[in-house]
Amino acid sequence: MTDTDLENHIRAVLRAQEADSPTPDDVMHRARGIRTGNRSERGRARKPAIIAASVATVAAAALAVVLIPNLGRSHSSAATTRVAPSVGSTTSAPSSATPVSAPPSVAASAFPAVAGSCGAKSNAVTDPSTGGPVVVAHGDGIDAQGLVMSTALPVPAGTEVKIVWRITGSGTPKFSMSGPGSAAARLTFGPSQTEGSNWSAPGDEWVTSFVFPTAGCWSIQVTRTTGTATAWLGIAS
Amino acid sequence: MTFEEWAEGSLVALLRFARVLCSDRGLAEDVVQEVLIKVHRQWPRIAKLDQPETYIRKMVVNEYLSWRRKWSRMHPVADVIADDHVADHSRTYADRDYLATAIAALPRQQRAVIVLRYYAAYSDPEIADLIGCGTSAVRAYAARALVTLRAAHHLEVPTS
Repeated sequence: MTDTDLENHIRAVLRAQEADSPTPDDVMHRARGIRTGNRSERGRARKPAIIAASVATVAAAALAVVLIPNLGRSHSSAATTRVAPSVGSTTSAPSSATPVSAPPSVAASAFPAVAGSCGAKSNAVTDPSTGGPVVVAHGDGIDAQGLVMSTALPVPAGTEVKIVWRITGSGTPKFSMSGPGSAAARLTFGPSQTEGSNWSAPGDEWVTSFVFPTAGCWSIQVTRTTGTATAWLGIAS
Repeated sequence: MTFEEWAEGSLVALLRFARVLCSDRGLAEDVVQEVLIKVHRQWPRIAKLDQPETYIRKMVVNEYLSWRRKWSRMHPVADVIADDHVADHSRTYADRDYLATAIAALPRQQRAVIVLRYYAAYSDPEIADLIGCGTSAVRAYAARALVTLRAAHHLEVPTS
């Protein structure tokens, strides 16, 4: 075999490896701030991330990647009622909602409000440690925060949305969803506990995926042995 | 050009480059993710460069080269002992499998040089700039890699 033959073989081999390249969605999905210790999208073990990031899509499915350093987070901030601050998007949180306390620091990421038709009820915030949209649930005995990992906000009906939860209390969480119409929402994955991630929030971390069939304001009731909390998520048509 | 516009137009190609460079899809994701964070932080400066693509690829290469040092992420590769010199219809494909395994097993500097030279089609001086060494070192890395690839993985036509 000549050097040229060998080089051509090398080129062919390297080109062939392109076929298994990650997609922007792969990076985007993981870059949303959660790289779990025991479950990734393909089941690979991951180191807990040292970074946090958020990625948002822009109009017409154009990919926008906005990455935010992990700024750390005060857990006490989760104990107050907050609404999603407007973060520069054309879609903003309901204007009638008034923060009870100062909203968390918001990075330069542009997220439409995750609250959707739920308005202030969803207690949606932009989490400062990940830049991702979080619905906050305060309940009896537990508190829960759900990091909504969707590039389209509000989340569209009929599409699977991954939500990573930090839930205080103990026991395996159970989720029940209710919303407009007779169609039931489905829990399509989880709850699967992770070893944690770079998301700094109180409680254990659990990964779930849901499909909400119809547009409107949906409640997600989280129940553990020690209590129950309800989060609200707006779903778009 | 905004960071988002750059990402929309270039991320796919960057991911392909990283996949070939790293020889591992998951590692490629990790490397690109780390690089994107740095790129985003430095975007105002990077956007002003004449060739931001080249600079960002350089960041990917450096991230890859330093990755194992940072994380000790060693991926054991089974030794492939191949002494079959019988040519048949599957020989070409088998050779490429061996070659892919051999490329993946190269020391990272050698692998980076091979990928940059034969996949990204950079010249040796450009490779030297990208990985931060001299041109002679690039040639040395490439020569060692080619010797390894030729000798270890059946690409030499049997002489007897």
